[in-house]
Amino acid sequence: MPKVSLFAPHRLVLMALALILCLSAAINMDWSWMERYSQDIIGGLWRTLALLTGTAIIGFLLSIPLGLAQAAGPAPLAWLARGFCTLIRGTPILLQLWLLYYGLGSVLPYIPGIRQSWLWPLLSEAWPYAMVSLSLCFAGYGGEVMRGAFKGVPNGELEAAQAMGMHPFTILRRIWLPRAIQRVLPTLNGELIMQLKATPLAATIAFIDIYAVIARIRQETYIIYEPLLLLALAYLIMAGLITLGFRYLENRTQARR
Amino acid sequence: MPATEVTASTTQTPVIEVRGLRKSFNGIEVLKGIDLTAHKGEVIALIGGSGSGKSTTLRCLNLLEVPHEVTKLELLGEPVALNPDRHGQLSVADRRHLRGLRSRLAMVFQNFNLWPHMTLEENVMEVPVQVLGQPRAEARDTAHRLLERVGLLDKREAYPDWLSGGQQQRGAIARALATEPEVLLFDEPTSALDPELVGEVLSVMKGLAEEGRTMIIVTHEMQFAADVADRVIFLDNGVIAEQGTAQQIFQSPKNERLQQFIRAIN
Ligand SMILES: Nc1ncnc2c1ncn2[C@@H]1O[C@H](COP(=O)(O)OP(=O)(O)OP(=O)(O)O)[C@@H](O)[C@H]1O
Ligand SMILES: [Mg+2]
Repeated sequence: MPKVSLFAPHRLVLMALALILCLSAAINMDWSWMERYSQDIIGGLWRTLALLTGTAIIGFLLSIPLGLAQAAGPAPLAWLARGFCTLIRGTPILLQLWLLYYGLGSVLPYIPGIRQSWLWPLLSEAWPYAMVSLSLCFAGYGGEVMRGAFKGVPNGELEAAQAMGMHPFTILRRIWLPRAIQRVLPTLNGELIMQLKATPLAATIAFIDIYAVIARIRQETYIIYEPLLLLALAYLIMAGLITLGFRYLENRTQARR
Repeated sequence: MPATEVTASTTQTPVIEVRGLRKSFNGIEVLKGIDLTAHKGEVIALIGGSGSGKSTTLRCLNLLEVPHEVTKLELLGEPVALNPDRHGQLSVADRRHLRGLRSRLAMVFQNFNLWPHMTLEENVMEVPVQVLGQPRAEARDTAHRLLERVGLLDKREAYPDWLSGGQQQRGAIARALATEPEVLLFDEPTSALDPELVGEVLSVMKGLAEEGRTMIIVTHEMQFAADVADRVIFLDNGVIAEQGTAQQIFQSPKNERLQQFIRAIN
């Protein structure tokens, strides 16, 4: 038996199965629509990725102060952060999105002068609401994760820095935060994939992501399965890439122990 | 012999001076009025039973713990002002001043507390670069010199988790030396080590003592204390029960608790 793990028996069987499935799908199913809609599909993919990366970055940046406030902040700040995280984690994402889009979106136009301001073109589109809502959502889950991560860094490591006269901000930047992030990488991987799978919700407020594009294709062509298969494949590949990226990062930090 | 001792303590400048140091945790007083003066170049061993307050005393000296009462607190000749907050708890008045003083005192911990996400070399460079603003090249040269001194130059690219406890503690000593501190504080630096690794750390510390560095060492290694300490302080239940030369403390202890303590360890 060769030692290369790719050729383990169960993997060989799975690969053969996948090949048969792909072949039969390619031969027996109807993919004629793909060429006609290729521009839309690429646009949708791009918007899904933009929504994912945008909200993950903003959300993660927010989760740092949220976690820090809960782990070490003064009581009022800690309560505020904890309240926010509980609220976000305790309600459906769809509800948060709709509250923001329909709720806030319907109140905003009544603010005097807002229709004339530079903000208005932004506020009358769907994507800013999707961006804000999903960012807050990621921040809520991330804040909880970061709280645990900050608390998990051994106090002695921070004391060593303190005892040598390091400024609290330098300690945060050089030691506390990097150590917390290092501990939290595997969890973040999962959170990011959850976030990917939450992006289609934005289609409900007329954000044209890959999911919305596929839904339209199905409506217009009356083809049911093929677009859905493509959609599943697209999400699988994105999730796979995320996991690969994190595995790379984890391997780099794993080398240190 | 006594004459030289008197001149030694009168001509030398005190680098740490505390009077009437008291500290409570949750209403229980664990330090009940400690007076301690460390002179330049002096090596002090702090001994005593478990829970007697050795670590707390040491941690009060660089304000990792803030005393709840103290009549005099001078570090490196500079008074440290403590202000009561609205609950009457003391806190450091000038954090910036304290950070400056702390960078001139160094501490070595029982659990080493090296930063695991940095190589040994980066650990040693960190404070000179981030706190003292040294150029990296200069800090790296210093780091190499110090790592060579503690016998770890070949491990400079290693991460702390790759190293044995003894190596980590020697690395932590190199890190502590990187800022050219005027006082070194050690809190049981060998207590977390396997017995066969204790010697390598003690010999590094012995070298430092022979260089004439000011050191305050909390330790359970009595032979080591007897070898290197100019003065041994026996702490019992939050007070200094007896102090003197190693000879006085270990050969002719007067305090009854100290006699018990020494009988117990022999
Ligand atoms: N952070 C803290 N909170 C509450 N009590 C504490 C704290 N730190 C120390 N104490 C208590 O203060 C007393 C003195 O502790 P300290 O650590 O100074 O003793 P020690 O002499 O260093 O003992 P050991 O040899 O076991 O290290 C102990 O009773 C301990 O339980
Ligand atoms: Mg102790």
